[in-house]
Amino acid sequence: MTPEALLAMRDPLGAPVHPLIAQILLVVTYVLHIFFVTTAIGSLIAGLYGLNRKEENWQRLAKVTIRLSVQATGLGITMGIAPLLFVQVIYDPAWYTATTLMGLWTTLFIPAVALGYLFLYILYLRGNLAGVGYVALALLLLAGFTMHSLAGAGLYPSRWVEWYAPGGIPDTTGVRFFGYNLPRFTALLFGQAALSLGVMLLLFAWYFRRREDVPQGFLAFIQGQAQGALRLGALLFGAFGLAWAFTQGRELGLALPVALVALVVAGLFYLHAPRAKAEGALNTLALYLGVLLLVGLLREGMRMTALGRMGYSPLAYPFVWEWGSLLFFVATGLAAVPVTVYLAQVLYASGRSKEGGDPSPGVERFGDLGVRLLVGWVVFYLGLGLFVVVRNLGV
Amino acid sequence: MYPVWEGVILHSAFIVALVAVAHVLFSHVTVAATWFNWWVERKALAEGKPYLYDYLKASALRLLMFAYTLGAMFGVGIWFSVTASNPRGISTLIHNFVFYWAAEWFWFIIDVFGIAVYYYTFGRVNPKTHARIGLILALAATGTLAIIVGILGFKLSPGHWLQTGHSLDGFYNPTFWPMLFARFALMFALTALYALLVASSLPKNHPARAEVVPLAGKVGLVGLAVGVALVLFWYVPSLPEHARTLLGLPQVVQKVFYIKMALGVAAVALTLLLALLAPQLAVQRGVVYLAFLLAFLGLFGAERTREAIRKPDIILGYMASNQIIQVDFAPRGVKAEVSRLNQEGVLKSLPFAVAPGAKVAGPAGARDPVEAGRTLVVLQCSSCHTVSKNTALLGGMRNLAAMFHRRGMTEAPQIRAYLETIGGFPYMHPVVGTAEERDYMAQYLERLVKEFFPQASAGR
Repeated sequence: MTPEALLAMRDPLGAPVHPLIAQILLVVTYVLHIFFVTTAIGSLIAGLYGLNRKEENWQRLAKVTIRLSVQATGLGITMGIAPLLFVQVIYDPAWYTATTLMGLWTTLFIPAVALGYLFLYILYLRGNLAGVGYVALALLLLAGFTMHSLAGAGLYPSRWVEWYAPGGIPDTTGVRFFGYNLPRFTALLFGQAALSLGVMLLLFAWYFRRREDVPQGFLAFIQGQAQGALRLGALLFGAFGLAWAFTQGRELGLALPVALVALVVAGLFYLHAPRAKAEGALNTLALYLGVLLLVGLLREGMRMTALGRMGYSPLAYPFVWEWGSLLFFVATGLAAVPVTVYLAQVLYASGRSKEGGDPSPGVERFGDLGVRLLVGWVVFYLGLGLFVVVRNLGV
Repeated sequence: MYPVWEGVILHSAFIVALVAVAHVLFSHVTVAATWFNWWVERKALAEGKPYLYDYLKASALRLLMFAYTLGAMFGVGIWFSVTASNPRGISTLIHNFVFYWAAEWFWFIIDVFGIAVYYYTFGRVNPKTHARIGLILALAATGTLAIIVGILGFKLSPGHWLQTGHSLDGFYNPTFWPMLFARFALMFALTALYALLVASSLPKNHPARAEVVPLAGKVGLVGLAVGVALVLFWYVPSLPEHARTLLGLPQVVQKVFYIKMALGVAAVALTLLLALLAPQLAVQRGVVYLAFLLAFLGLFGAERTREAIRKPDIILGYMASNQIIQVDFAPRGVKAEVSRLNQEGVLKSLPFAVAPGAKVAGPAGARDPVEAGRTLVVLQCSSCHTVSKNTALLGGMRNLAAMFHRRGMTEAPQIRAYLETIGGFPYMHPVVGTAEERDYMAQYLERLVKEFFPQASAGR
């Protein structure tokens, strides 16, 4: 693969927006995605561990975390759509080469997640089928490893042709994995899974702290486990992050930045763990989102450096300002974001007591506004279409 | 051009079709079910029928477990399977419509998060608030349909986009409006089947059954009738002339496609009629599952037909199914690739068009001519045809070996001559590459025929 060939693989249509915007959206939405994905894995592992323990607190914790894992899996997949979109805009040569090289695994990714989700749901509904939970975990880990390999393979353009056609004979079956790095996979999946679990357990203890039907002893237990998860996450991230730095990091000339990030994340959460309390759960969440952003930036920097060696810069991606599509996106966001906030407010209010609870009148008015915004979007959508049709009538 | 993934056992295009139809089934059920449930919830509130909430809870749980999340997942699954099987095709869509998909992502979040809120707040918030969540779900789910219809229609009828390059012209394309309304109507028929399935889970004498089953029958039949009429009298006439021509060619749309569609429509119609005339029979699970299965077959036929009548292109009038750009596209300064590849050669021009060195130096220069031919055939033909034993389960998909064998073309010279003619078919583009490269292709295809039909070489 020559630098000229790599650049020629970019889509000739160009990006519909300045590539920096696509890059920012890629990193930010990746943070949301990985937060839910690692929450799903961390809470499922905690749930399976809890099912094996006889103590009542562990049994209760298992129920909570398995339910959390179900919802986090659904949200993780949904959140993953956005980074999947933006990576294709500015990194299409790397992404599509990876997806075709590992065609079988790329295609099996969603069936693996879907089956994993179904098994997870069965575990949630039946409560005590740990075996089903282990199958779900294996499937979700397979999906995680696939995604990890797809991202990793894109970092090595100089190896793509040899991977595809060893000895000059193309292998079109797509059955092999390429580009994986086990320390990176372990740090970013298991390390972050433990950290995400810790953060979510703290949020749970914070949310239920005023509920009289939830025993304070259980909440204290949850808080203790959250601290343990944060400590474990820090250790895993630190140890495997360093291993990542001295394998893939060194290979790409980035050993120092990767090692620094690993040490910062590990140190930060190891020191924070004993002080992490339910009352300060929102602060811990903010800290964690900041850390995820840092890791997201590190990943992005690694990708830019690896492809930059071949003369590829995402920021030099040809582009046009496609105003029609931007208008569509912004208008949809203006309608959808308030509605999402409203749904979160309803959920928050409904859990305030054992019997449920109504949102405040202000929130209800916000809900009415949300419905009007959605109807307004439908009018916008149809009106825009009619405008385009009428404009094209004379052409 | 990217590496080629042919598929494993099953052809990659067949895998895409399976995932896509599963997505259509789940997502169509979802969209209309939200409206159906909103209506039932209003009925429960307005007419004081709290027992209808039992139906709603049962419906919401299944939507939460299956339809919403699996619908969204299989939607993503289409992306994944297409990025593996036709990356430049999806890349064209992404570089035009990324922000439309990103807009759809907002609706996905409301769908997946909202159905969880809807389910977990039954009886925990006041009924008016709950009904409002139901309405939000219905509007957001409709938003997902509204957006994907524009992108799907673009592939078959890019319309003014070919002149302007504006995404809005491609989105609101000539088949956009009929497809939007036809799909919206037809999905009520699928949702009606779903409603019957949910009703069958309630106890036999539950009063909700008596309310929901006939309602599903009425709503579903109206949706089916309106949808089929819109397809026949608005969608089909709106198709580009090329696509209408292919609709009548049995080489492209085999009779079995029409049979599947007719069977699907008939099975759904009969089941919904039963819901009106013999409700107890209509909620027999075997009946509903059979109807769903036939509906799946019908959808498979319909979606495959929609894909087939676009041949030989993945984006009609812009990019061929084998991912080669066929025309200059002035609005974005894109150059057609065909003439360059014909002059310079595919093997010299494309980074993944590689072949091993020849064991004996010959006319292929340093390359093994048969293996070079394999690379070229895989690049140009494998998006629609089985071109190796990798994807030959049950004979494979439009297996080239079988097609040549059927026509009695088992030797390279015959195959070479035939390759020169295929551009004359309305559903094929001419082969691309230098004359020498076409020779290699013919040599590989001869080997392929003999691999599949050893008796062809024995009888020589």
